[in-house]
Amino acid sequence: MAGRNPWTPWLWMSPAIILLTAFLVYPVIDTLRRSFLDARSNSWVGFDNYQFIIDNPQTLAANTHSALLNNALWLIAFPLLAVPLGLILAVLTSRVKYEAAAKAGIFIPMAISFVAAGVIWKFMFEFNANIGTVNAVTGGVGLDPTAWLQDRGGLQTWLTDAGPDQWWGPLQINNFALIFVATWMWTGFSLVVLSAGLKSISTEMLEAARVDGATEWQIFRRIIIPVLSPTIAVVTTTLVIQSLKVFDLVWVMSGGRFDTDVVATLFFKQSFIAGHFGIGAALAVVLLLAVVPVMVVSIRRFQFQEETR
Amino acid sequence: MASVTFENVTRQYPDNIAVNNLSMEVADGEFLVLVGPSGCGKSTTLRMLAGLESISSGRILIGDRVVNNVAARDRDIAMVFQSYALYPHMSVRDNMAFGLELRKVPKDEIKRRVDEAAAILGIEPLLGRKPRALSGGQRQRVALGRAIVRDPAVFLLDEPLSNLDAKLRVQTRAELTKLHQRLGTTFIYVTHDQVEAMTMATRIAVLDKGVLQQLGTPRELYEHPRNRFVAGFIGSPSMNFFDARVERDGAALRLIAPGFTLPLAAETAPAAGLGDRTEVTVGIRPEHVYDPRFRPAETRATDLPATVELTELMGNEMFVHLDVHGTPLLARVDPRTAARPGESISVALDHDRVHLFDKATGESLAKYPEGSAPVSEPKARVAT
Amino acid sequence: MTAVPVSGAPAAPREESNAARRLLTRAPIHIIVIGLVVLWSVPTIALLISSFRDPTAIASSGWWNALTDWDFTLSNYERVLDQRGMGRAFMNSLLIAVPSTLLVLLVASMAAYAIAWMDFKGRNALFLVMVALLVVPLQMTLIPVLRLYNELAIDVEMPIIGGRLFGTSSFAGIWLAHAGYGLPFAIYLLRNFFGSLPRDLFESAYLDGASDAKVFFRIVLPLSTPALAALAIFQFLWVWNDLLVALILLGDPDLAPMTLNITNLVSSFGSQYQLLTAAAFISMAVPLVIFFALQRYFVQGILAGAVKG
Ligand SMILES: Nc1ncnc2c1ncn2[C@@H]1O[C@H](COP(=O)(O)OP(=O)(O)OP(=O)(O)O)[C@@H](O)[C@H]1O
Ligand SMILES: [Mg+2]
Repeated sequence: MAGRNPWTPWLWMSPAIILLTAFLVYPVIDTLRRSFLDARSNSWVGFDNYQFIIDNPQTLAANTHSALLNNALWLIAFPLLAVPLGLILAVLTSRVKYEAAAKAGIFIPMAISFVAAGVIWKFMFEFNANIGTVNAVTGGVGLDPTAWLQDRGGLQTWLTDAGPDQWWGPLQINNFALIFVATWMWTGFSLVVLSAGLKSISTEMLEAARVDGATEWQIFRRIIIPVLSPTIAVVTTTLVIQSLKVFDLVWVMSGGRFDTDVVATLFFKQSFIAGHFGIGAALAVVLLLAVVPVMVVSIRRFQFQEETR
Repeated sequence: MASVTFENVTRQYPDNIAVNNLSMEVADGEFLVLVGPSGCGKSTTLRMLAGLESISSGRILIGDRVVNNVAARDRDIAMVFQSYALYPHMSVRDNMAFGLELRKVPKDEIKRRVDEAAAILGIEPLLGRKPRALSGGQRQRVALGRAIVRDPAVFLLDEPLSNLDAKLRVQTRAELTKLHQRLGTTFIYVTHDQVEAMTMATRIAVLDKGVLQQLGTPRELYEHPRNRFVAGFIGSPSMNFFDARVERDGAALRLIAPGFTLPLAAETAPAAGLGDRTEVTVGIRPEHVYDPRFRPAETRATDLPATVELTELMGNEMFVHLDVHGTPLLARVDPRTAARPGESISVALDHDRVHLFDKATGESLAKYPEGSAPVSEPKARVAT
Repeated sequence: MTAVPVSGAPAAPREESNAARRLLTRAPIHIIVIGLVVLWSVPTIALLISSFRDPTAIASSGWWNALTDWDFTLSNYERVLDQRGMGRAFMNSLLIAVPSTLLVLLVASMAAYAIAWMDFKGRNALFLVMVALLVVPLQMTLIPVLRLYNELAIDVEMPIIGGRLFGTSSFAGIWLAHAGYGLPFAIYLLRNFFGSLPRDLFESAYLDGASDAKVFFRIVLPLSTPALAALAIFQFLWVWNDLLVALILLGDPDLAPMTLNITNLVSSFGSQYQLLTAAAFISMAVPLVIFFALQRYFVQGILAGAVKG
């Protein structure tokens, strides 16, 4: 509307701007500042806190390299599990009559708190095979019970017996157990978004491909995936951000013990338990820096969509 | 190229029957148009033939092959959809090449065929673009192109022109007819626009509520509609209907409508199946109600007094809404007519051109000479 | 090209053989879908069944034994509800979740309206900045906010709901915090939804002389019910399921929500699964009821946010 008072939009946005500034913008700036201060935020220490993260002296109960590598594993493995699973389920459920019920079944874990999920999965992963469902099943095929949340073994042990400071360090059973639980919780999200995207593909287009001579697999590969790629990108971005920020699940399930710490849990421990605000802040900044490229990519995509819509 | 045969084909949904016991034969090289009101089962018929919809009972043959259990991709058909259904992530060229690629046609052969089809349709400059960057008419051509390159046994088109503006529609109509003559392939074309049906078809199949009403050439359908539904559906504006009593006076017959009487020549076709009925429904097309001043020579007509209610000037003709003693009648007359709303005039009804229908069943009472039976044998138009 | 006549083509098939063939070719789809849905539901079902089992039975045998040898009891629930503060915690969860949800809805929809339908310089940039804040790790903001709260605390007793007026022992503090954290997603979702409303609608209303407030309350909000409902559900669940914000920003144990109480149960009862499972299920009950009652809106909301954008 022409002739609107130029201050009107700002008036409408002011509550949002105030809240965002107080709870997000100001804390980011403050954290940045504190990452250059010492443990109690009193004196200037330059890049010492960042140096600590890089050198990884493993004091203060902080294995920074392990946390960074674990985060990298999350970043790769979690979207790689949840996105294809969601996609396959979206395509398959669209072909059955009980679609809504099936989707609800997969989506339910999304509605559960991390705390409840933690209880559920500790129970599932219980070492005693008489109680723990997972070990009962693996026991059923003749395997020894595994301490899923504690055991560092697995891939690493057959690759090498080198210490945890190697790049394959994160390939531990307990990390995969945690990532599996995250997948359990988030596949529903991936499924629901992708299936909404799938619904927006016209059936006529799929029929045209069928008449053109495509098999169901060719339709999936050559039509559905390319047409769905913007939606797949949205889901992947969301999951990548989730995996970088992952905190609650690890905190509730393993507390970061047995080398399952990720950057966010380590940050939390440094800030609230070890009481070293400087290192905590530096870890948070590292996390934020890791998220920035993801953000830039999604902003590019958003701008592209705005231009072409 | 191939013929297409429907044998007692039915498509049943839990709560309704979309296509009911359809039998028809479409000859190789024909341009068959399926028409009917919305929801009458046209698309369902086409989609069963394409293999996109399963058949509840009966069978469909393409050539000599029963295709009931053949997958869509193996039926050697191409289909143009109402929404065009172009692949948004592929260029025009890739859209057209997709079907050939899937059939493992060699690369240079694909290129040759796409270029050729693009030339036929005049879309060469668009080959590099994405569908998003095309106008409605251009998209429609690409959809056609995608079908043409496949060189299929049968072309299926489901209301391909309905998204185009009026001018483009007329133009594309003519182009489609030319394309059919050039390719000589069997075309099956769905529309609810009877003008499209009349202008393009070698034969028309009229469907209503899933039942085939009549199959014949456009001329047969216009001149000898088999029932009241077809009579009303084919021709624009549609036929006038009114009820009348039959009065026999020796050999002479008269139709007594409320307020007026029409003589009926007993020897003409419309009355052949009259039998001893006394009540009939009379149909007369608007173009057979004349302004007496401009009545064509060699027609026999009855002059009636009428009141003009409304006139609609179309330019080359005029539609006059009349009231003849309480019976509404639409006339399509020469625009030079003197009829003006509110005036009483005299109109001439061409009583040789009336159609008579059974009042209860709507079946036509006409009997026609051999060769112009209401359901005619399939005949191919010779490709030129 | 001529159709090759296939000699001995199959005669018209009967209905049954058709149905049988369909079932056979589609069997893998059903197996995968049902298999995954079962796999996804087992943990929740295990939790539910266990919460009704006798403590001795839980400790000695797997939940699957209850399927054949039913030992139903409500005593676990009785004991959990008898725990100090469980009832109060349930109330607290509601007292935290409902107002924060309403606050987010109001603030975000005002901002989204301004961004979607008022012309001002830099509105796209501002929108991007707001959405970019999605990636800020929540833990990072806690210390600065905590310090802010300590400085701004207003030590006045709140009537009825309890706690202080503002600060770390106040409901108001946690409402504002949850609102701030929820805003980026809320603004993103609503601006996309508002932006898709037809322009004519606004123009005709302005021509009729409607003010911005009139248009907002009489046209935008009523037309956006699906998006608002979806957002409300999301926000409610996030807040209901939140542990971290409550853990840090709620100093007063009398104001603690369910998640906090259950976490404490976990640490004090270790592996007394009969209590943990019952407590976890109580905390899941509200989200599950909401999810099943309003399932439809979940999908619509995700659609509005992720696919259209
Ligand atoms: N999946 C279905 N379930 C139930 N009934 C259906 C289904 N698909 C179509 N029908 C019904 O079958 C009938 C024929 O539909 P069809 O699409 O063939 O009509 P049409 O002649 O193509 O109409 P239009 O001109 O509107 O496209 C309609 O009454 C329709 O409601
Ligand atoms: Mg149709």
